[in-house]
Amino acid sequence: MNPDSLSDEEILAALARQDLRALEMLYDRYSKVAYSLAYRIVGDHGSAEDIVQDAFLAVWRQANKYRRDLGAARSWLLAIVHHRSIDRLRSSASSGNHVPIDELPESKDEAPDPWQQVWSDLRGDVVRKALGSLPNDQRKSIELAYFSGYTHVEISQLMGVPLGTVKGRLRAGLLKLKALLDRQNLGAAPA
Amino acid sequence: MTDQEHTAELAAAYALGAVTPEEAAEVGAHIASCSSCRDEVNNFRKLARLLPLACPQAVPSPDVKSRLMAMAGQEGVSAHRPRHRSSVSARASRFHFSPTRPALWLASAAAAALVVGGALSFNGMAQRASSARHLSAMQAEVAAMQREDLHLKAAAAANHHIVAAVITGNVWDMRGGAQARRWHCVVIQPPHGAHAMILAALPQIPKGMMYQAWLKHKGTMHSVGMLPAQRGAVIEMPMQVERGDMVAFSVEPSAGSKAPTSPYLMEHTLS
Repeated sequence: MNPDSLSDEEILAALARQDLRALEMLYDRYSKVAYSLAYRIVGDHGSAEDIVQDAFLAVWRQANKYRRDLGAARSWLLAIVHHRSIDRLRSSASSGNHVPIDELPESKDEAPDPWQQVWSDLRGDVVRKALGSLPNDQRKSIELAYFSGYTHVEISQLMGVPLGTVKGRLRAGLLKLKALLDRQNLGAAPA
Repeated sequence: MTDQEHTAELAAAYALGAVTPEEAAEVGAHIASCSSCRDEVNNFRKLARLLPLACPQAVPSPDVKSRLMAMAGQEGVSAHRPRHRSSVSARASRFHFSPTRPALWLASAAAAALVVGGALSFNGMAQRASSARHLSAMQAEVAAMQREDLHLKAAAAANHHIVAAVITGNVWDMRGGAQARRWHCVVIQPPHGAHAMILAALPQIPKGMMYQAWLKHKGTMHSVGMLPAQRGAVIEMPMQVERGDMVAFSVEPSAGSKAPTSPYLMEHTLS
């Protein structure tokens, strides 16, 4: 099995057959971005490593349930990492009552995922710059939501602004992000 | 939320996971039947999926991969292991392991028993080791395992579930006896509900006799397997163990006994 020649989906198919080499390939391919995400959220190396390990283990255990029409394999993996990281963050803050991100239903009629292009081009710096160039309030709102696991209600309390303002900032921020990435041909085209 | 009340104001928060469960349920129900809102949510989700790329790049330590591969390897073996002891070749083909893997697995058991048994013989198991080199490598790994060295190499850890179980599970290390009658027993409870294992090196007993291992679990004594004398051996117990259980060995006819017929060679409560 040549690691470079296999698609994520082929790797997952091999994982479903309990092939350890496939797990190693998947890990080598995505452990860095998975760990970076986990560390960005939990801010602790030990916890981030636990989360990454658990996420890959979850993929190992559930690979036979993976369906391509529910999203790209890497999106699935990173959604698990994100969910578990936010979960860890919330449990350490003793707050609960939130929605597991990777349990949100996915639509089957999505347009081609821009992830593929971003990934293949290794253009993470473009996304970083785009996020960094958002108006501060919008960027902060998105970061609090995605990387810190706060709900829009909590963000409104934290930032001391009305709830409607937070909803507007999240929406405007994502739309602006899309426009910025579109200029780099990395944006999410409408379905 | 009715069809007329679209989710526009919540779509971004929903895609970012920043809504309450109640709101998520409402949005989820709405987009199931409203294609324009579903499209909007999906577009926001695609953007949300790009956000991990915005994180400063960091690299996990090599230990993460080692542990992951060890745990996955151990789970793979446990999940598919037949209840009776199958031939190792069948196991190898099922898991796409390299042909040397079963030999390594057995060698590791021998090596583990050798390490725990000190100078005791391990002829029976050692004969199955594919080579002295493998055995030596496994001895080194198990020695590392005994030192609670968690920095085992991924290749070694990935290929053998005893090491994996030791790293990830609970381990009770028991030993005793006078010099000529020394015994050493390691009980391992792997994680995720797998059955426990006993690695043991036990002293000489009369021909035709074997050691029988017992487990007192929740007040009831169970026979958990037969072990040969004077060489290292590993058996899988038919159940899990937990703190408070008692492990014991008695000397019995090789066919085994329904209840202990001799005093325990040792008995130890798992604490």
